Amino acid sequence: MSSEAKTGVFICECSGEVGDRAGPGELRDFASALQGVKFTGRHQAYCMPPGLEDIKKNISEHGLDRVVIAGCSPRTHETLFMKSLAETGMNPYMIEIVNIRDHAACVSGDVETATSKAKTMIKTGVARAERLVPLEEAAVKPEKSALIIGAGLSGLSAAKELSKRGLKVCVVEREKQAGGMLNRFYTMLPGPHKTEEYLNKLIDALKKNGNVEFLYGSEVTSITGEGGRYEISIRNGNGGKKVKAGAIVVASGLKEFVPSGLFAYDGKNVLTQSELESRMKKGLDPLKKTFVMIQCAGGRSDSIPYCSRTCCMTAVKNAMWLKEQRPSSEFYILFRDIYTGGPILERDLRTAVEKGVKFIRYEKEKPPVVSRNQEGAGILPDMKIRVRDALANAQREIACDMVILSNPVIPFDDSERLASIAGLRRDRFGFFADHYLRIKPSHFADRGVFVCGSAHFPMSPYECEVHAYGTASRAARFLLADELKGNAFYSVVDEAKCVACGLCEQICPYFAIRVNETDKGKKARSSGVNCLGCGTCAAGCPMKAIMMRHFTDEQIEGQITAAGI
Amino acid sequence: MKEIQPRILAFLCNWAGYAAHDLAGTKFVRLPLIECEIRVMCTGRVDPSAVIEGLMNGFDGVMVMGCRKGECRYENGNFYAGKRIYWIGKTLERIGMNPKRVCCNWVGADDEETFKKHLEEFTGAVRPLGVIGEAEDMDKEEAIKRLAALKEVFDGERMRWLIGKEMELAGGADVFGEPLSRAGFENSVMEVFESEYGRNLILKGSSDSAKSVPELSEVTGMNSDRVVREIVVLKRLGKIFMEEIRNRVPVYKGSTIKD
Repeated sequence: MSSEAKTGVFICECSGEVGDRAGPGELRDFASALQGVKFTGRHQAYCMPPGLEDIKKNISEHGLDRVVIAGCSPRTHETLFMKSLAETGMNPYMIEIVNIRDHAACVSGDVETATSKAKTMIKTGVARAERLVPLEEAAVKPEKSALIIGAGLSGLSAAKELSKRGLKVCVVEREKQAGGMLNRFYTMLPGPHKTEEYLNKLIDALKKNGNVEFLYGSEVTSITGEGGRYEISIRNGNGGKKVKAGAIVVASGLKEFVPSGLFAYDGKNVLTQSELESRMKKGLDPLKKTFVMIQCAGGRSDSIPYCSRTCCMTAVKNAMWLKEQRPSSEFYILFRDIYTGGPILERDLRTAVEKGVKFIRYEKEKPPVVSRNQEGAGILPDMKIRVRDALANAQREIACDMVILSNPVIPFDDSERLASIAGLRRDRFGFFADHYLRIKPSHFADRGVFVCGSAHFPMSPYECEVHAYGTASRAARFLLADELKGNAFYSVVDEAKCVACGLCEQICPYFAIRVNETDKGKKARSSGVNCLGCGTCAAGCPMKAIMMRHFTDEQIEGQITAAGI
Repeated sequence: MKEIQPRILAFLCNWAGYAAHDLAGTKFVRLPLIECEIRVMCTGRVDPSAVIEGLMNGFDGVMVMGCRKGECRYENGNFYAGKRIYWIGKTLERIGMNPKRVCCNWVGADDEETFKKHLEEFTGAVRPLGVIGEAEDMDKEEAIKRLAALKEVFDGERMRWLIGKEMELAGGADVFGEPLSRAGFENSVMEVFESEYGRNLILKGSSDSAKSVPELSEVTGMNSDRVVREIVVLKRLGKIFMEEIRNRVPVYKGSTIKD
């Protein structure tokens, strides 16, 4: 290999930065004497147009097939030089940049040390260049279709947006009907719309649009493939089904926490907000006159430490609705803190106060106590609530007909399984978390998997819709691309050596490498589009079956041997 | 032993170690000499055998420098790098080398001061040790022989698998669901290491010429009981075979180091 290599070494003086500190003339002589080096150049600044022209000229003149640039950092200048290489028709990855400016000239103190250090660096650079191989970026033509998991408001909204763009959409829903959590509620939040009407309108529009297929009573059992071409196995009543899709939108939502054992919850007179709403739909018992709502019933506790974000708004909305229906009724909201974010909901809160809804603040340590009068005692109202008013610092006793608990929401039971299938990470509460909250919000480990709606974190219906539209447009951008590009350096599995132990699958944070069923039995396969090229799998593979392109064992060992004694 | 200018091999991750080194250059910070830097995308790429390869090639210390914990560009690459270096240190100690010769440090991309500090600390720690082998009272050949056997251990499937599974096994439960403490896990890794290392020493010792059990016992420093036991296993794995019976004593020859 080394005899065939035609390496060109280009020593950049960096306008004196290197030239004054590391004896470029000596380096040039040193580099020319190295094995495999056909040409050695020296220039004031190779990154400037004349320098780049010089590189290109010498590549074609001397027929070089690999280039070592001894200059500044590859972190800043690699793309620039790669472009020049590509212009000459060479493979752009046949380049190695050694940073003699920052790693030798500027940190060594004296010329002698700097020069000898730069020599070693050039030597290792040439050794690595010898072992470079031409690379191509991984590319996939994406399927023009998406799979949506969950037919709640988020899933339906995402389906609406995607199908509008002419993409085929398949919506998988576990239940027998669409709607998800909205089916449990009577009115939308915010706004006067009835959920049923709203949902029916949305579903009708989707059904009219021929691009959407609904699979009810179905569950996703496995996902294989990579960003742009997934194959999804779906299990349902009549056996199974395989679906192909380019992207996956997870809109699996969440579920309600059942506050059993809390505040004498029984589902009849002490009930949750969603149960209240289904009664509102049927018509509420006219005898009920005094209502008490208890906020944070189970939420913001030790076991569910987060705020569910929507319960305060739902409580205010329902209080307003009931007050409108029965102006004579009395209303108490026992709260710890009230969060009604946004202009509309904040206005509603003010209106509720004006309309006479009484807000009493309690503390976490002193929660309200619900006690019931003896059954059949004939005393009405039949419940009593004792609560410590934290603001007035007084004990209050409220006789009431109905207690409504604002229960929190929690991730659905199956979220762990779905996370492992779809390559998602769950946060400490069990919701699907962003891969990098600060740098890349709403990006997930697998490039082709998107999460929207309450599966991400608790959202109100309005927020779900907005989030779904945003997610759908990102998914659409992904799907409508002519070609999905990946890195040129991605891991490659040698299937002859692979024993399918699954360690790589566990190591990879991007679900880029997975053990699949192949015609040679179970083997790990790496996806060039999903792999970001860290190489942790290659260094961890027990059988040394994984090769990390551009950073192969051979290249690294070559560098070490070249620099060693 | 005399103090030396240590030859340092550094594996730098593109996003933090390498970036911090770049920044040090831009700011003209005077740094202790690193003999050779190798740029990798993530410290997770640093194969344990590459680290040992560095020691075998005359480097006195090998440093891995990557993103700070929890800040890895690739989420957990530095975590695995830390684990690998930890086990290399542990096993180096076992084969009679100073574990201070390898280290793993975390640095921010914008933090050339910390980069300098870690580098100075490491160079300071390696300098008094002297050339590899010297501090350990062994000649160079012996040191390289041991390191080569160690490298084979880290190239081998058992050790790599255990290190990779550490997160799952240590402090959790083993494959049978029995609770496994941290100490228990360390013990089993060292047990695996002992047997693998012994086998590799036997293979190395018998690769050039066939040797009898007493001869191998002398070369490897293990008692003959153990040599016999390991030869039985190696024979089963097809890595060693009996060449002939010389003066009524069977002599064995390692077929290949790798299968």
